This record gives sequence, structure tokens and C-alpha cells, in this order.
Amino acid sequence: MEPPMSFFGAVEVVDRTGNVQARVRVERLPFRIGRALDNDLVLDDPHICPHHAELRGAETLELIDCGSLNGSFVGADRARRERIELGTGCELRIGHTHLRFRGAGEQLAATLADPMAGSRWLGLDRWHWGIAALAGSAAVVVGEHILGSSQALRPGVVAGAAAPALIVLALWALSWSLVNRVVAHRFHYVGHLVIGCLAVITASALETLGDYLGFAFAANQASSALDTVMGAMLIAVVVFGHLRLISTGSGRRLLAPAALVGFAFLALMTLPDAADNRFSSEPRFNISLKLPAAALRSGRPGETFYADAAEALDAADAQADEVPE
Amino acid sequence: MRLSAGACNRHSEWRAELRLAYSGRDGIACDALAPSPRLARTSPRMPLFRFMFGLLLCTSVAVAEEWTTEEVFSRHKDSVLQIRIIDAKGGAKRSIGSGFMISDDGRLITNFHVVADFVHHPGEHRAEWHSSDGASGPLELLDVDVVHDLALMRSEALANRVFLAVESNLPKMGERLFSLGFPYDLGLTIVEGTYNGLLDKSLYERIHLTGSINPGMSGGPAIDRNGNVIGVNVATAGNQVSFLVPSRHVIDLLTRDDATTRGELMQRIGEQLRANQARYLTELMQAPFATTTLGDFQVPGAVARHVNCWSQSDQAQERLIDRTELSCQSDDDIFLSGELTTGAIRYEHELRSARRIGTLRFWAQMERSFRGFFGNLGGDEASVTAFHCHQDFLEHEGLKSTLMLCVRRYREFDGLYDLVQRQVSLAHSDRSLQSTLILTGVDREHGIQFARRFAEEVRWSRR
Repeated sequence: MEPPMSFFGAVEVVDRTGNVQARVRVERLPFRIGRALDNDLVLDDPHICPHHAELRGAETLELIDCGSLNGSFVGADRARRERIELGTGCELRIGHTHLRFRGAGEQLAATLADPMAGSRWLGLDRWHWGIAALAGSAAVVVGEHILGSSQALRPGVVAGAAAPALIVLALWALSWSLVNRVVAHRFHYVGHLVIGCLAVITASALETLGDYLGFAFAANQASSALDTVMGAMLIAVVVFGHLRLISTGSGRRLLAPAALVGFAFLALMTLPDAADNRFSSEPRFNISLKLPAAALRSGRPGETFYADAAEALDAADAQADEVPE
Repeated sequence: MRLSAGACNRHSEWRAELRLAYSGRDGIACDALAPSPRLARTSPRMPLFRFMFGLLLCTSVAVAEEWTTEEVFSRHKDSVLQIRIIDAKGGAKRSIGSGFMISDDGRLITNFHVVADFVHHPGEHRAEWHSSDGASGPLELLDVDVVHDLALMRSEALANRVFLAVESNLPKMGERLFSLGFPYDLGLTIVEGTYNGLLDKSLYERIHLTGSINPGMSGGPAIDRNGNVIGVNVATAGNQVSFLVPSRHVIDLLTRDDATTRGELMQRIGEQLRANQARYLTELMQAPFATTTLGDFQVPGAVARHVNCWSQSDQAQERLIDRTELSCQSDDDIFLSGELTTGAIRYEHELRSARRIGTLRFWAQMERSFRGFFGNLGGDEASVTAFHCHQDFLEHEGLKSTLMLCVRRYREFDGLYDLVQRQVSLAHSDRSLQSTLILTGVDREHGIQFARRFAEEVRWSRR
């Protein structure tokens, strides 16, 4: 046998994103709603009358409008109602305030915003991840320095060359942490550091992959264009990650700003390309030489190569016919 | 380009000195050739007739006696003029050189490089002659021989002036020659030198004169002891090593019709350049390439007499990569403008072997080397296009390499290109050969043929 109901249900005040701001039990009837302090639910909304509406009823509860100036509505419906029959989950609108009725026996899911949601994103904000990511990015930076150096390796020199990149990473994470502290009162330094380190590792991996494919398929231009797009996507993901750590709400609303930053980065990356188009009296041999990738495709006979090279001559002819700026 | 810094420097320094040497020289006034009034009235369209007549007359008179330097100077000083190219806006000299009278209707010869600005930008420049007695007047351009660096000009005010005879036969080795001109704008000067034959290793015919030709003497005459013009001052390598354009090219220039418009003149320059590259590249292609061994590779060496090769190896003990370099180039080129020269061949082979370095690091270094190109070919946006490149793998006789061919076209001369080709062998993980070829001022057919031959002549000698 069910216990006798000591209340009739609850009224939730809901914000525009669906989060519940307040929840009040309806323990007696009539339950009065309005701006005045003698109401059971006091709403601080200038578009609501001091005594706007009441909940009444026996078997079934109803919201009765008390002749309010701005009226009472159901959901997004624009028709003004004098009486509204209340069922479980029924959504109401009075003034600029959204209300939701909950029946007394209803099981409620967690609807309040979780202030720690961001910090738990992918479990990044943990020291063991931080150390692993830092070690990984240090390995990438040191590796690139070693590959780029034509000198004998000395530990001091290698460490000295890698240090600036790691310091920049640390400062990057610190900057985001400070923003985090201001917005959400928490640092999440390790989480931001992990995101930065992963970005460095991923960028290096993508570039290497692009270089190998570009060399194998003689498509260096396509490879560098792909690099740019992938770079922009990576930047968007990184910004999303940092914002996700900072934010307390849903991640979905962070997609737009992250994408915006990605597009901005893409635009910035294409601007220097335009500057590169300035006249140069030297040819540019900007290709990668990745020996293992050469095995992916066979060489062409001289006749074919030079027949294909006619494209370059045609392009020069076409440009010669244009008037230089 | 990645030709060795040493080779590049040698080339650029040498070229800079050559440019410095451009100057006019004085002409020897041959009194015996002073035209009679009747002769001076000969049709101005018959310069060859007058020239031949003058040549015979001068030779017959001059053979009888040998003049001293003072006599040469006093007899011919009036035939040698200073040429000035004046910037139309600034009103001052843009470049100076020398020239000498070649006929009685006011024609004179100078170097193309002296008047190049006037040829390329006639609206922004004007040409003037100045004599040592202070007279001056405007000049018009009639024709050029860009390959041999000659220009034919005329001024009506110079009609009936004494002119010089031209001798197409070359003198004997060691014969005294007198070079005249206006060095450094210092006034008419005579320089005594010695004939040392034609340059053996030159793509373009040049007389080697042991004597000091200096800037400002370009375009002036070098005359023999009989008073005949043997050559035209054109360049110096310093230390009394100077060069002349042989007189026979002056005769060739005089026998052609004058160009009537600038368009026709530019068309002629294009034709001269195209004919010149077709000539020397065809010669090169007809003979088997001289090859040389570089480690495991056989590569094109000194493919012609006029191609000069230099070699060097890295000697540092602590080196991680062994490096041997062979660079070759033709020692001369064709002056088109202050920014652009053409008609040259340069190439370089670099063999690198990993010594104390892993494969990944070795290839990272190869990549750096491939990307580095330090051979600025000159030219500006108005004269040439940007480079356009094609890259792919090449496989020839079992040797796989990556090959990149870059070309740009001359805007003013149809069908002429500069071509830069770079090739890296991919057969070994611990050593690789990088070859770079630069051809300037070539047409499609000959340029591509030569580039292909060059790429395919790189062979792996031990399998």
C-alpha cells in the first residue's frame, strides 16, 4: 500500500537551456504564484503580476490565471489560458519565466548543472596523464631537434634546444589555467597541460604522415594543404578541450566557438600563403624526402616524366601572357 | 640553387668583375681612311661597302709603317666616343661606355650591355655620344647582337666623322694591341696590351687580351699596330686579363638591315637567343657526354670544352656525413639587363654518405640539402615569370631517384625559358647523390632534351 501523499507535486523554475534553477514543493492548496512576497512561489520577474496565478484542484490539479496582465501559457503556445490542467512534465510560461510541473510520484533525473563536469572530461586532469603527456611531447621535440641537427649530439645542447618548446607548453597551460580560475574558480593545470602536450604530439604525427604520403605520391602541395586543414581541425579540438575543462555546462555549446577558432586559424594560415606568392627569382624545392615512402610507388621512365613536365612549361607560358601586377 | 657556395661565389665574383669591365674603348682614327666628300655621300644603306673599302685602304696604307702608341692615339682619338645612357627623369648618367665610328654616315659600334637600359626601357632613357673635344649629340639604336654583346647606333651629327677600319683576320700570338676608351669617366685613354689568342674554354668567342681594360671602356675598339679594329672591349677578369669581341661579329652586325621598330629589335634579340641556344645545345647533344665517377655513381662531368669543373670534399674530422662535390659551369653568359643574364649552363653533383649518423637523420639532412637553393637566377617580375615545378620519381637503368624540374619563361622573348632541375638518388639508405642542373635561356625542345639526357646520364656504377 502506497503511503498517503503529504504534498501534491512540485513546480520547477527552468532556465532557457533546460537547467532547473529552483524546485518548490506544492504542499497546500491553493498554491499561489506571483511577484508578491506572500505567494508560495515568489518569482522575481517584472512581467509577472504580484498575484499572477494559483494551483487548485482535487483529483487533478489546475493552474488558474488570476486575471493577470500578461497571461499564462502552455509551453510555446501563444494562446492565453484561463485554466490549465496540470499533468506530469507539463511546461508553463508566465511572464518571461518557464515553469515545469512535476507529479508527486515522479522519479526525477539529475537536472541541476554539475560544476565539476568539465574537470572530469576524459579524466585528463590527473597527474599520471600529465607526466606521460609531458614526456611524450618532450620526446617529440627532442626527436625533431635531433633529426634537424647536422651536429654530433651533446645532451646539454639537445636539452637546451628542447627546453624553449616545453617552457612555451607550460606557459600555455598556465594561461588557460588562469582563465579557468577566473571563470570556474578552479585551475585544472594538469588537464590544460595534457591538452597542450597532446596537441604537440598529434601535430608532429600528422605532419610526418603528410610528409610521407606527399613524398610517396608526389603530392607535396596537396599534402601541405591537408596539413593546414588538419592543423585547423587540431586547433579547434584543442580549444574545445580547454573550454570543456573550464566550462561547467554541456559541451555542445562549446562546439561553435571551437569551430570558429579553427576557421580563424585556417584563414590565418592561408594569408601567409598569399604572401609567399610574391615574386621570387629562385625555384622552391620545398618537398619532403622520406626514403621509406619511395617504396610505395614505382619510378617513371624519363619519357613519361618529361611529357608530364610539360604542364609546368604550360603554366609558365600562361603566366607569361598575363600582365604582371 | 644548391651549387656549392664556393662555386657560386667564384662564379658571381667573376661575373661581377666582367660587368665592371664594361666600358667603351677608344677607336683608332685612321687618317688614311678619312672619307672624301664624295665617298661620304654614299648611300647610308650601304655600310658594308664603305666598311670594306675602308678596311682595304687602311690595311694597304698601314702595313707600310708601325705606329707608336702616341701616333695611334693622335690618329684615332676622334673616332672614339663616350656613350652615355641618360635617365630621362633624373637627367643624369645611368650608365657609361665607349664606342667607335664605323662608317661615314654616323654609325658607331658599342657594347649591348652599355645600352641595355636604353633597349629595354627606351621611354625612360636616352642615349648620347660625347667626344673628347667636348661635342655631344643624341644617338639612335639601329641593331644589336645580344649574343656577342654588340650594338649598332647612329647619330646624324656624326656623319663625315673619321671612322675606323675593321680587320676580321686575327693577329699573331703576342702581337701588340691598343685598347681605347673612357675608363671610369676619366677621359679618353689608350691602353697597350698583347693579343693572346681566342679563349679556348668559352661558349662565346672572345679574344684574350693581356692589358688593363677598365669600367667605362666597354664598347671601345682594340686596334692592331696597323690601325685596324681587331676586337671590341667587352670584359675583364682583373689583373690585366681582358676580353674582346672579335671583329668578325661587328662585320656580321653591319651587314644586316637595321631594325625599324623596338618590337622588331626585341624580336631579333629573341631570335638571336633562340638560335644561340639551339646551336650550342645541339652540339652538346650530338657528342657523347663525358662522365666522371663520384663514389658509386657515374655522372656528367665536363660535357664540353667550355664547361669548367671544380671539385671539393669535406675534410673535417668530426663530420657526420662525408660529402664530395663536383660543380661545373660555362664560364660566360649573355648579358640581357642589369638583373638578368642568360645562355649559361651550370650543374653540380653532391655525393653524401652517412658516416656517424643514423638513416633517419641522414635523410633529414638530405631533405634540408634538397630544399636549399642558393643560386639566385636574377630577373624581375617584368622580365620573367615565377618558377613552375613538376616532381615525380624517375627510374632509369635500375636507379630510382626523385626528380624536380622547375621552369620560368621570359616575358619578352617567346619560347625561351630558364630551367632548374634537381635530382636525388633513392637507391641507398646511407648515401645519396644530389644533382642540380641550371640552363638559362633555352627553348622547350632543346632544354627538355638536354635535361632528360642529363638526368639519365646519372648512373649507379656498381650494382
